[in-house]
Amino acid sequence: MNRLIASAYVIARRDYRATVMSRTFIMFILSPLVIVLIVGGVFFFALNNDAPQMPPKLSVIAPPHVGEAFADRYAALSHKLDHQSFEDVVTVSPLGDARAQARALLADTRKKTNAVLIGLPDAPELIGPKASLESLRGGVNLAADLARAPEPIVTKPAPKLSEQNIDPANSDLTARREQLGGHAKTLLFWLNMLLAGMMLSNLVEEKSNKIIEILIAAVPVDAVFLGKLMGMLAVSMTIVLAYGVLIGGGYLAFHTPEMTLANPAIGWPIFIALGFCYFIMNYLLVGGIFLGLGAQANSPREVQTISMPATMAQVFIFVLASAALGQTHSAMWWGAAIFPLSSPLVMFAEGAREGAIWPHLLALGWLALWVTVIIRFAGSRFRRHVLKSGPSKVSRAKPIA
Amino acid sequence: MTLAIDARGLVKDFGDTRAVNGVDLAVPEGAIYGVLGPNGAGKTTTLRMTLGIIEPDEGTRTVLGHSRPLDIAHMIGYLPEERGLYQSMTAREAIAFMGALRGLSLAEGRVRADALMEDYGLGAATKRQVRTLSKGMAQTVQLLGTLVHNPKLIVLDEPFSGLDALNQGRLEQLIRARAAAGATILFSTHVIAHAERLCEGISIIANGQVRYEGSVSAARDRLPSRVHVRTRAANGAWQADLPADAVCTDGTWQFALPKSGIEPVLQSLITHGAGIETLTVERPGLHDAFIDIAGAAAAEAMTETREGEAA
Repeated sequence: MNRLIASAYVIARRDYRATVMSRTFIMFILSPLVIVLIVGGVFFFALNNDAPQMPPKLSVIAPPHVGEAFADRYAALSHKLDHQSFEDVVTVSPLGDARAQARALLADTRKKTNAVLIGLPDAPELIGPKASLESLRGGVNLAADLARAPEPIVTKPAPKLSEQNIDPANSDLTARREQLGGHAKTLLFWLNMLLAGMMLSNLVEEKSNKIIEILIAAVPVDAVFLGKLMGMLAVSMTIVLAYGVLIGGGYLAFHTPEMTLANPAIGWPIFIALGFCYFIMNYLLVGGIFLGLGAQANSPREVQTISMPATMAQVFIFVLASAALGQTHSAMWWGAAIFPLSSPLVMFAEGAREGAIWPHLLALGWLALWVTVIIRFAGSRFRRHVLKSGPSKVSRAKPIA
Repeated sequence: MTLAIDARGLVKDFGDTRAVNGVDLAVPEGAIYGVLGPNGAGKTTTLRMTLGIIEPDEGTRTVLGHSRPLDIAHMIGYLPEERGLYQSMTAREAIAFMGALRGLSLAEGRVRADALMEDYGLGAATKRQVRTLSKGMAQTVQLLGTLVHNPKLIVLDEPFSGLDALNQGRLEQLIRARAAAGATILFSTHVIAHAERLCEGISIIANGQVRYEGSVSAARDRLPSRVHVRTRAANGAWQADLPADAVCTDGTWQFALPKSGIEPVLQSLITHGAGIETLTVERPGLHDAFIDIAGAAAAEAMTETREGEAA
């Protein structure tokens, strides 16, 4: 076993270096970066032209005179209290249901409304995301109190400011987690689609260059396959890390409130770790099958011919996983969760929905088992059909001491 | 005598064709051993089965006492018939990589690669990419990669093909040096001269079967020496004293050395005044022995490929 790993490492190391330390690879890494920069630049300028910078503000839905009274007091307070936790106030005339109008205002991103105050003068209610409520409530409360009378004399007991916390985007957490799971599944599928295809042609160089003979004379066929898989997995992880840093950084720097992703039920750190684990398993499974198929091919042309059905099969599995995710814990869902090729997609999405960790440990163990089966099967097919080796006597043979 | 390779009854079918049909191979430790035969005789398949690259359909083999040669890959060096290296690697990296495949550390492999290249007079090419090397140089790089981990058993499949005369000579030196250092060397060839110069023992394979197994001199001793006589007189009474198998071509008589020796014939030639111009008694070469053993057709096939290569 140790020798298998050591041999596989020698082969993986060569493949990794040969791939990563080449000019083509730098192009490969940089080309999407250039595209992202260009697209990002276009969006940036488009947004800037469209919406001139507007400071965030507090909207007050009230008849004009009531709203102005509030705005005056609020501005006075803001002035006295050094502008801390105060925002510009805009008075909006009421249109029927004040709460619905408030939500509409919050949802309109171009208006940059941080919070909406309704119910003046006697039952003020502050509506907005939690952060806004916390920072604004003191000033709003005071100003609302002061604005009740033309004179700042307290004749009645101060009205109590009630609050309602709503998020600007969809507030249904379960639905948003399912949405996150869907995104996660799609991301995993695309990464695999883009990266696992390389495995199909991975043995073609060795076969056409006759290097395969040197490899299999020195190490077991299984070690060659494992090493090839590990080498390309390392290459893919390098790519994923590079893009992950890029996309993650871009998200953190430029995300807007409506882009905010729901926290996965299992928590971000574990969810990301699971993503890596499922990516690895998915890559090894699909890559292992592709490597085994490609190893049977005699020429680059044959590899091209099998690549189309291989891609179709991947898309089919994606569709299957998507359909299964639509009916959580149905028979179809269970089937897709157990079937090794769709399992990584389905189980990764499950991590966004459910908080338990043990199903993932179970799934990863199950997938690792299949990876072993696929490598061994691909190896034995290669020995039998490409090398035309006779029946293996390994099980019967005993080393002579 | 310990056997480095002990293969018995190896059989291999490719589809309907039986490529190897019950080959035995016994290579003593420390020997330089040749497998001779025309192209397609089953030499490569025999070597590949011996090394465990493919499993035989029937038969057994042990290599350095092990039934699974891959377990002792670090003790074996193998130069395949179809040469191949990663084109983008430098010569040094290619040699170090081949060593790493057989258990050597990359760092040690690089150090040895430099030394081997230097010794072989290719020191300037260590950092060149394989794709920029000439065919002969690339082949030498692969040979050095085969030896970089100092294997106890060195198996070379047609090592001389593709090399010019100068490099063939150097390869012979290298093989002798490795054998002197204690390694066992098994190589296949279809060029009889190499086997004749290098080998202590040979196996002649034709049509998937071993036709002869033993020492080169024993192979040659299977045939009597040949006598060539050229006389001034075309005819004479001495003709009656020539052996029955004597044949005259262009005035030169050829026949196998009789059991009674050359003297009675010589006596008759002198007595009857044949006028001897030349008389030679030649020990038969391996080529003649090969014709005797493998048949004229096989020998013809070998001669053809040899001429084909020279062209």
